Amino acid sequence: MAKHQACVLAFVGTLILLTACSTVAQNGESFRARLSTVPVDATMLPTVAGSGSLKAVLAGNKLSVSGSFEGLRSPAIRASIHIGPQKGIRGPAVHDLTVTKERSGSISGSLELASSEVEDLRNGRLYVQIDSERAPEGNLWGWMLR
Amino acid sequence: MIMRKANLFLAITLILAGGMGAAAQQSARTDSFTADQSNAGRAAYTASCATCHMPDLRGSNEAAPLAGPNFMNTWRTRTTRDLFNKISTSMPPGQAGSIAEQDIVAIMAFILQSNGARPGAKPLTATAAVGIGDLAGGEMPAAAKQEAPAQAPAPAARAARPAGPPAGITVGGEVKDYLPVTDEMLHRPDPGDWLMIRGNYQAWNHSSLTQITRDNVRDLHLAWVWAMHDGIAANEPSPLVHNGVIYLPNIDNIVQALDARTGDLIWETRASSGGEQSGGTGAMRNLAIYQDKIFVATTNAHLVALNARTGETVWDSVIADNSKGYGNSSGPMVINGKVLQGLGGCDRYKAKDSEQGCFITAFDPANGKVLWRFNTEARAGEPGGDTWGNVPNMLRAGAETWITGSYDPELDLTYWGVAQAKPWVQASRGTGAAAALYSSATLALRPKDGTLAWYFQHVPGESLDLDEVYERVLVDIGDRKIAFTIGKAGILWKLDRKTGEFLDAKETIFQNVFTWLDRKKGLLAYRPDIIASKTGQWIPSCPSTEGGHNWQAMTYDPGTKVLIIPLSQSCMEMSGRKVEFVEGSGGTSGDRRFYEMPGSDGNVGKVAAFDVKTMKEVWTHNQRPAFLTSVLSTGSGVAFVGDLDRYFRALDVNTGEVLWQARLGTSVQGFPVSFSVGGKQYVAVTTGLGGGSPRNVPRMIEPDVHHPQSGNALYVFALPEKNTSKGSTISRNLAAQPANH
Repeated sequence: MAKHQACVLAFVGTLILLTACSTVAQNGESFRARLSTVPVDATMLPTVAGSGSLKAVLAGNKLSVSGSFEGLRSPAIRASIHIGPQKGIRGPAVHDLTVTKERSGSISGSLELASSEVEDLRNGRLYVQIDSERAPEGNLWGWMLR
Repeated sequence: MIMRKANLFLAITLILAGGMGAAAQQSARTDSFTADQSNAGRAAYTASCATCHMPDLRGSNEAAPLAGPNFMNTWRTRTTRDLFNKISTSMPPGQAGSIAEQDIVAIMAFILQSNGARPGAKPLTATAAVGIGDLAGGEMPAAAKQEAPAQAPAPAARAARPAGPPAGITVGGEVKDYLPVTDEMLHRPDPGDWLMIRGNYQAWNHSSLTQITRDNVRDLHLAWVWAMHDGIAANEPSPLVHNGVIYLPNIDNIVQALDARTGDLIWETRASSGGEQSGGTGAMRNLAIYQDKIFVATTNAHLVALNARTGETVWDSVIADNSKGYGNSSGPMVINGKVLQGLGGCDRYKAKDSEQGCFITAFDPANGKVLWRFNTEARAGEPGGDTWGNVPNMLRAGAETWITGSYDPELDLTYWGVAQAKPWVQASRGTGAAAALYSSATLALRPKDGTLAWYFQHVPGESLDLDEVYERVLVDIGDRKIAFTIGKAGILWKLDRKTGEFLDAKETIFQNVFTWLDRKKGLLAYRPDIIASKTGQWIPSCPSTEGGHNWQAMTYDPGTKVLIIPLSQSCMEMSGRKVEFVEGSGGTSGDRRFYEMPGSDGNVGKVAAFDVKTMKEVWTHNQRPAFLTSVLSTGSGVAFVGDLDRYFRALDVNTGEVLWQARLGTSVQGFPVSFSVGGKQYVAVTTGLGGGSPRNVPRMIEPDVHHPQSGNALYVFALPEKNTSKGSTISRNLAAQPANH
């Protein structure tokens, strides 16, 4: 009896595991980012403001990003994915995203990550940055985290 | 001896080099403002700027210098338009826009003249963009220099304050039936009293009163409110309560005695003249009480004893020379007949040997006589003196003790946290990665004579203004005597308080500054780019100078055996400025930019409970507004804490669940306390404005949280009569108090 129960439990467990794996394969790994202002001091506040959020799904090496932002002091001019050496530390832009060139709007993109970039993403080193006309070196940013 | 000579030679060389550098900068001058503007600017500066930047424009703590070589290092290549933008968008902190445009321009004229620029016929305007380096060199004109006092610490024109209100009684009165405070009372405080900052020697921030419970706290209502003095200085007070009287420190060194039951004023006094200098944020957090005296450490570095009955000054002792930047933001504690006081504002370079150092000082409560001093800046040739990278004594700055210590009566040791070396960034202060004892350390001193029993340095060579200066909370776990502390880095340290041995550490928030070099010994290692950084280079840091943890103290709840800690979640980039190694220089000398902490979801405020045995987080309460008060726990399992968004809340110590909240007039800031009078338990908390990073950081990263720009006050809450008349009694649970001897 005990052996039978163990077999049933093992079967159910395997089923759950396979379902979970299948779901991940279909839906990918989910990440999200809160977009807030880049490092600011008081003199930057007249040009750097706003907020937003985005979601990202990693399926294989393909990363799909979608989100929105609002409250910029000047129209957005570009959006990029950056890789920092650690979570919370600036790094270079590595991929471009599509962004509404207004003070509010949407941000999106679908791109292939290198294997090392996938690792960077999973380790919290990737962030999205939106630059604007009056803050061309950075206006909003947010780390893509689980 | 050879080392001393070498250091002396280096110091002289540095001074001469600084002087020659300044002389070389005297070449170009252009008339670009009028004398009338500068004169008007002097008055405007005094009214709006001098509290933080000091009357001599040398700056203090987070307020940057506005005159001298370090000002020029930052501003030489920038324009008057940049300076106007800086002032108009950020000054005074939290009240940007409150200074009229013409006053800002006048202040700029005064700053320029204080840096050697000459007035002329052409007025300065807000839109002018003249190179500051073309106008000024960082030194005052010769004519003005002749008018300066011979011992003036800075070459800048001083913004002598107009004669302020004189020190002394402003409202006369007398505390009736005053009961002198004995050593026994301090060792085992009556739960109805609140005799020292954080409630007891062990710094528990805990009241054993039990009338206000988890079940009835929702009925808590306002008993009375007392508007406190408003002004530019920070209001972060911890009231004392003794035998039904509240002793309350206000800004500008004003102390009041209030009837704790009714809120009636008994007496008020100004412990120092309003015409004297302040420093830092101008805060004064706490008083001390002993025998028949109240002890006030004034912001201008005096220790003043007041008659507790009348408020009259009994004696006034100088702790350190305020004109050299020294000041105080926290008050004393009394241990076995000695008044122990730390010191702030030790960040300036002083050439004279006798003017150097940063001290914990013990005073005789009877007459103010100095009994002993412990220098937290280890000097060459003395123990720890070889840890400053061979810089001369003149360049050994910082290591302030700006938070009141704690005390273990059984071990007869007093524990103090020490701030970081100054300037903030290693590259600015020229010490390299030298440990710089006793900065960023816990000190265990013998209160009898001030000798050092042990020290533990948490962050050798600290380089990001991540203070480790805060409260040391003393808890016994079994037979082990523990001291807990937590600094801005958010690392909760667990030390054996008998020996200083490192026992454990817990990272309470995200940090990306350190890795553990040796976890078993508690040794940290900086990220390599921090060590390698140069002046002018932006270095990222999570957390920011807001902390982690800051002056808002934790509580130890003996019922649940948890520490409940107010925390903040923000990050920064810091850039160290180039600092001239000359008399009067030094300072903090860093620029900062702030941002939300990744993963915090924008929740700057965090309060969390940690099991003292396992160090595990038991619960956490996150919210957008920063917490600005210490946490008070009570014998009935309720914890109180206040925030930037004007909420004062009661939490369940078991779960962190919000049980009650009240919205007050402005940001809730200070040290909540609980006391009883006539069988009724009260909870008191202050609202307040002003302060350093705990205020400046939220202003940058959560501008959506608004509060009025006035409203310093003391709020006192109690249960309605129906709750206190149904057999609910005050429990004086002395068993919950630590066993003091």
